[in-house]
Amino acid sequence: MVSITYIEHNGSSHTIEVSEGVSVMKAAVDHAIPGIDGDCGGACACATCHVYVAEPWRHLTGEASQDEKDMLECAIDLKDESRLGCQIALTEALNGIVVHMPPAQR
Amino acid sequence: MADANFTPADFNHHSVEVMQDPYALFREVRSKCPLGYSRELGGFYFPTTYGEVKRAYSDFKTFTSTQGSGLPKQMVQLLPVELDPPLQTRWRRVLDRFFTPEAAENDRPRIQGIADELIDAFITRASADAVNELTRPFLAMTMLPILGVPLEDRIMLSDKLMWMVHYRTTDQDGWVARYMEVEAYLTGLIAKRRTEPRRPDLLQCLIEEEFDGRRLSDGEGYQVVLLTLFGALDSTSSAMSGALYHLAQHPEDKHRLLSGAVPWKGALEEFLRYTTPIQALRRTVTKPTELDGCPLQTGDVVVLLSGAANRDPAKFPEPDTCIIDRDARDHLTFGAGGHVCIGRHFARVMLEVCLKTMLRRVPDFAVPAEFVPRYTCSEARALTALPITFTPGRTMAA
Repeated sequence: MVSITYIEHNGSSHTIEVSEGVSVMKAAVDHAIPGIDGDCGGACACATCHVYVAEPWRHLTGEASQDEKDMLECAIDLKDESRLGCQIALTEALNGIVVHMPPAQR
Repeated sequence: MADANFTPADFNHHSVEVMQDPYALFREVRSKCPLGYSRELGGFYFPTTYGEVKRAYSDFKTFTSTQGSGLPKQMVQLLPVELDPPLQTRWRRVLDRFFTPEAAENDRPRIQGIADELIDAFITRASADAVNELTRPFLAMTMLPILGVPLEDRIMLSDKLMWMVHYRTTDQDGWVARYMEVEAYLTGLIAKRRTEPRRPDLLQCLIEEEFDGRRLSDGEGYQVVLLTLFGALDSTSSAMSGALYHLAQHPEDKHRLLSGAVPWKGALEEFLRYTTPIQALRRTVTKPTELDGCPLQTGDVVVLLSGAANRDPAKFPEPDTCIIDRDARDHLTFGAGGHVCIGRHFARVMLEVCLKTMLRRVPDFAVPAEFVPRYTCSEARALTALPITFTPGRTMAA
């Protein structure tokens, strides 16, 4: 199991434990974590699972692919730490990861 | 083609006869090599398993929408559904706010009022046509004000759009004529709105907001409104009428819903799966790939049959039975991927309000035993009529 903490824009924090391999988006949607929509179901095609991943976790998640970067341009309040949750698989190395949500997904 | 790993099956989704029960054909193809190939409409492949339909919906880079989302293509490019992400996403971002879960939920009192108004018009009479007196006007009366299209033009537009969707393979001249009429009407409407006081609807958004960094021409606005009109006039009505038909035939399910034995939330998803209002959407292959192991080439046309995916027994056991307490949440009734139906949250609220209101106000509605269902065919499949009889009730005002 992998532990992940989602921090909403208003500061509310949600920590859940999920199976290894699940994406940051899917884990949030399955646990009804507010603030992540995941409209396209994980196809990197809607940019509604936008999250911020800061260090020390950022280097462990790797860099966004060009496809992901193209989609991130559609996201609101883009920052250097922006990622799409559907493109981050929760591996054992990410156990304890903390992600922050933008003010809105749409 | 001796080693072709597809099942030849000449059909198309405009065939009135096949589409009365397309599931028999889909079942047969799925039981052989599950990728079908039809020589009709220029030739197209059609996967019949849940997994392959969903994969093709999701992989927009391999299965593009830019060559058309219908087969045959509609006369104009429908925007933004006939764009691919990320350009499609940038357009859709502007439209999304009209269709959020919150927008649909906040609109529930108005939607309830429409249901009550329509039921009031027939409740004292003991019989009605649930399609033409309830579900079709209900969908249009809910959605047209959100778009900014005048309600008084509902029947005119509905008739023309029905033709544009359902008869384009059988009456080319009629199809073109109606396109011209609808284009003139909608571009005229947009031009008129430019000079009128602002209103908080989709038309206003199309006039004054930027899409991908610029404002739309009247023609592009028309291409967006036309797409949303197809959804607003010919989609959720089918789920509502199909669900009412099921409940009329299965009074035990009425009781299970009314008593709370089966939660509404799950039942609504099963009704959506079972009815699948939008059956067929086209994609075009952009690079050599495969479906079910069958090689496909650039330019090959693929028709994604959401109804076939929704009846795949590997995903939904006993798929041809409407089982209201099953978990049907993964259905592909709204498609999947970046083009997932923008109106789905409104569809769910409409379906819920329609069914709950009928069960509360007209609880013993039944369908005459001699009724033979007839379905429209094309991308959209819907009951053409649903006669119901019931114990007369009171209007809300009474």
